[in-house]
Amino acid sequence: MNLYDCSKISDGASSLIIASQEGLKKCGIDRSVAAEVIGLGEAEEDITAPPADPTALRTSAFAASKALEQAGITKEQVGTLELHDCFTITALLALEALGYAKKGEAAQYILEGNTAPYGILPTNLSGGLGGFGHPTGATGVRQLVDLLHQLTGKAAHTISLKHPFGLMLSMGGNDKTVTALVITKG
Amino acid sequence: MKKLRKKIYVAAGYNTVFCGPGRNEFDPSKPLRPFEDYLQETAKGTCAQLQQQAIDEGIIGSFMSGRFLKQANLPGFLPFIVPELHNKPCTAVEGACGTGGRAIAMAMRSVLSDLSDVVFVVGFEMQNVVKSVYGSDILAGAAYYSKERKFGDAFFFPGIFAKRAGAYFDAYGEPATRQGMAKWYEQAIQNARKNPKAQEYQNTTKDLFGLAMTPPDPEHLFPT
Repeated sequence: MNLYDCSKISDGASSLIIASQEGLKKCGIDRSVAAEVIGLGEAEEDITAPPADPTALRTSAFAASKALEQAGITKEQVGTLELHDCFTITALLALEALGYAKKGEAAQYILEGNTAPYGILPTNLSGGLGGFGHPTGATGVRQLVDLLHQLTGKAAHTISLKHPFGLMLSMGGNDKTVTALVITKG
Repeated sequence: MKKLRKKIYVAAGYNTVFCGPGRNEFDPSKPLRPFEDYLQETAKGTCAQLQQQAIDEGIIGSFMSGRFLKQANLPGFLPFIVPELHNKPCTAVEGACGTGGRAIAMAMRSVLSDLSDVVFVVGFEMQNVVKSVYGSDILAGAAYYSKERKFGDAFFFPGIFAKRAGAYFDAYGEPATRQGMAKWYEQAIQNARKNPKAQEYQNTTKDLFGLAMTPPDPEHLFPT
């Protein structure tokens, strides 16, 4: 890899609230500016063991499939993705882990424009970890903030999504500590 | 897989500028913006979106503040940035670069279990307080440090994922993969240019794809 394949050293902070329906009311928040979290998938892999297959993100795949199953939607219904692209290769592996590209075909999937803002799967509209930055402890929260803003029309660059669902993948270490979330308009 | 037992919402999101190399205001020769400022700004940004500060609980996520900032006991910063959290449950979460995701999941559990109706979640990190090669050693704590570090590269995680890239090149071919990686970089910067708080918002490189196709130098991560 070269320097441009790597997310940069970064400082930053992000925040949000997680609330019940009653909680939204207590805070005086209208549901039109909130998003509902409908799928949560968490998975952990043994940190002492090397990856069984270095060309695959198996823990990410497991977490994402759990989140989609709980949400009751298919991957084709996802309108926008926020992937953990700490390195460019990680983005390719994540697209394959989520099943959007077959093994070995993620590069072609990207080159064809599928993940571009007006492609079939707009991905990392925020810029992702490579573009927005990656202050490690903030990143997962930042990903959900940007999905929320994209779904509620508050993003700096909001686009029209084909489907009202967003999926994020938050990954710790070498595909060891993974959380996937599916959200939809509130 | 069961559906969530009750409706859960996310709202009042806020990001600070993500600052570091690439931002015009970043000058490592001058004092950095204090981490307390980042925390206060984001908390203010979230709380300003609430008509009533009916927050029941706080969760703070950070990966390596104990080493970057020599600061632990992070829950104590929650009442500092959200006064409503005085004398309420506050917890710190750590899961390496996946810290934020786990902090959100923990907040969801609290709401799902009826312990709280509103949980404030914040994530932060300050990495520019040390030079990048030292920061790489700190971030290597996301791996199995005692066994993996001494075999790793100076820039540890770039080395870890370079090995994944190398295996992928061997399995599926390098030229097309490198082009896909370069296209990803180009897309990331183009998207960041539309987000004023992004670290690469001010990136003015014209040929992003060409730059990203720079052949890797196994001896130097940074161009010499």
